[in-house]
Amino acid sequence: MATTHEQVVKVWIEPGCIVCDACETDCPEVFEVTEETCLIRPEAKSADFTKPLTPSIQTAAEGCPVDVIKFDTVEVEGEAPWAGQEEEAAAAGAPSGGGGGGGAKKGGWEPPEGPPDPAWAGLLETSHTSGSRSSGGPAVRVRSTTLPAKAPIEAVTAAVPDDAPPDALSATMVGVGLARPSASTAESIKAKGEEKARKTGVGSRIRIWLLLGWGGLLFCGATVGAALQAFIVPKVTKEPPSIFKAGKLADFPDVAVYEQFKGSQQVWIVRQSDDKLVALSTICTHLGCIPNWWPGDAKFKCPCHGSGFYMNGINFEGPAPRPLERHRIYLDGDTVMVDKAYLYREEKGQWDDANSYVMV
Amino acid sequence: METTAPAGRSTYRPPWRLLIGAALVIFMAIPIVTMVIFGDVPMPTSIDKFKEFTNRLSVPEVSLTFFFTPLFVAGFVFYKEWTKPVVAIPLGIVFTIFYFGSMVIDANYFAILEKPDNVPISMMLFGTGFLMWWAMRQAAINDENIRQGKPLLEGSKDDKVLVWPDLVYTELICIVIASAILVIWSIVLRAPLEAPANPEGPPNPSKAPWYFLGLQEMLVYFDPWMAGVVLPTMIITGLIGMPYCDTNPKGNGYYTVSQRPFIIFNWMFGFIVLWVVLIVFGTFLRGPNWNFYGPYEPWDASIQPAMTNINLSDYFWNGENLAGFGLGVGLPENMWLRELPGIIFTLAFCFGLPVLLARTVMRRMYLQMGALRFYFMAIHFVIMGMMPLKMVLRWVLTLKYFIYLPELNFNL
Ligand code: SF4
Ligand code: FES
Repeated sequence: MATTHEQVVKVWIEPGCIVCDACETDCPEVFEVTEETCLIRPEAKSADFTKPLTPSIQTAAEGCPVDVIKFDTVEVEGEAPWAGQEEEAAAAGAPSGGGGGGGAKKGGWEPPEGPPDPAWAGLLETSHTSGSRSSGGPAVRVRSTTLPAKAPIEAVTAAVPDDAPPDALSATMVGVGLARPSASTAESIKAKGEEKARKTGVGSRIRIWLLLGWGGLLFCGATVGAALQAFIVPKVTKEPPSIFKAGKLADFPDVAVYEQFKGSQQVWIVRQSDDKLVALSTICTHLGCIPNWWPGDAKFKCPCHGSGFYMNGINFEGPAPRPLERHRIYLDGDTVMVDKAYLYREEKGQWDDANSYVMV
Repeated sequence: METTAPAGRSTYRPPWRLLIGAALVIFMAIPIVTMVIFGDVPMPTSIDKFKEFTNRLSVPEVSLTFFFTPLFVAGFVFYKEWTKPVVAIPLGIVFTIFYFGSMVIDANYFAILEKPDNVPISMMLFGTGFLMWWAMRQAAINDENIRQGKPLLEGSKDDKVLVWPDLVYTELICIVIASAILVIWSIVLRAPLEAPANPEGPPNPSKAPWYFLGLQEMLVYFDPWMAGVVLPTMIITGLIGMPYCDTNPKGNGYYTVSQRPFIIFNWMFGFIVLWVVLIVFGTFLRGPNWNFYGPYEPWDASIQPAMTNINLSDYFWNGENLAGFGLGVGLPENMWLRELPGIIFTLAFCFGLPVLLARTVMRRMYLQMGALRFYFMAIHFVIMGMMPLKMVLRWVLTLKYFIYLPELNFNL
């Protein structure tokens, strides 16, 4: 099978360059990035010049973040002349760690200087380039020296070589005044608005309306805000007493969880196996749901995200980050009293506090 | 200035897609084969056995890891194939039959599906499915056209539309249609009101509104302030920041996958897997006590699988549960020292990893986006990746928290 390879015969840049310099890094022989846009160097307009640079032009085109670098190729018989170069470069690059990716060009292979194409050099000299994407017209406008202003369209067509980049024709037409680049939408809207303002003199009146509008908005906002602050602090505070009677000691005869205050006080009275009587809060330490006590499994299990707590309130499964909290519990005679105003947290070592349990 | 050596491209390309496809199929077959051959999961030869089979394979560690994620990846790799109507329509029909047909074979599934709360789930499933297909189909056609140098589906239409009347009219029509649907819906379907809240018996399971079930699922794996505050905030900041971070004009105004694979994959992963799939999980698979139940399993609240969660610090200092792992010296007294492994891990993951990415695999992206944009994106990216990571660690190592500082109400 005969090998063929591709060679670049023409490179051009479509509008939309974001001036990122990538192409000049990849292939400085062809691309020149200016302040405003990216140009093809004049000498690179010739196919003889670009052919040997095919690989780096392809790299640059791939590397362009907005894909505006376009090129035409021809199939050429035979092994690519740079095929060996590539391996050589890879071999040279590999031991050096491949760090930069570039810079591997050690073999001293240089592209031949192509003869500058006089026609294109001339065309570029007389051109004005603009990088504006929104101007809607071609990026290059050609001020032709050879064509008279208002030249007939045939003359323009004839003057533009066949292998010129696709937008050269329209660029030249713009240059000689045959075509006018259309204004961008934003430009035309702005122009219309300005014209209207000039005709009607509305420009100065609009300021008054704007002032009134914003002023009114601020005024309303301030009024509403002033009204709302009254809701920040509750007008009525209902604080049920934090202390309740949980019953006699004899009401808690077995090691068990006593649920009679779950609904009314959000407290479980738990008689632990070490004969401590504690008052556990029923608020899940994850997000505050109310777990259920499952005697068969001897665990509290929260229905919201599945946190599990042992009978003594220690968390062991699910997302709850800490054990259930204890309330203060104490004996008044032989009456068990619970004070919910106090919280005892295990992770802070507060469960050793004598107020957090009652020995039975 | 650096110059690049001429780089030709070799013409041989391994059949990547074929290899990936084969790998995915093998990966998805792993649980089926091992659980059926070596476990006690029956072959789905009768309806009862099919139910048992589905229930057993739908536990999240198996289904998320071995089915949903590979299917999601496959949907991406083979988007040109599956979006073809000849493939997509039969797929849709099979899914619809499975989805609604299951109501016939199982009472529990029927009970879930016919709950008025869950009507939106069905709408969401089919709506998302259809829209996914529609977008991917157009992307597939466009990508093929781009490859062949043909014009896009969207053509070279002007991408500017006037606000008035084009946009406002469209919005008005949408408002009218949406309101009409809501009104009809609320008349036809009774609002699922329940008894007043009762501290003695909260509903079991207590489920969030359907659209937050994914978040509720996240809460199982994270501390409340993480899953309830930080992560939702990051979802919002990420959504807000996305257009400012993404300066790449490709894909503007036309559908494509091949030109924007990274960003589309990420977006879809966050939305489809971490939001929609988790909602489906929360709806169909989370039962009483927020335990897992198969889709055809009766919700028996007294079934209480035992599980115990262990913190990273326990693993590190005690090495209790993994032989040969951990120091075995016991937890240090000082809480900072105790949580040091977790803190180092978290810092490295959230901040070190983005730097590493910028230096290595995402270097190109870093150069194009600039440091600020890149790190904004990358930090959101790795933290999104933390969710599946934490889930997997919970399943595999029963890991509870990376950092466990209940003294400061700080857990991660
Ligand atoms: S042509 Fe592309 S790579 Fe070159 S400066 Fe412009 S945007 Fe950058
Ligand atoms: S509120 Fe109890 S587990 Fe989340």
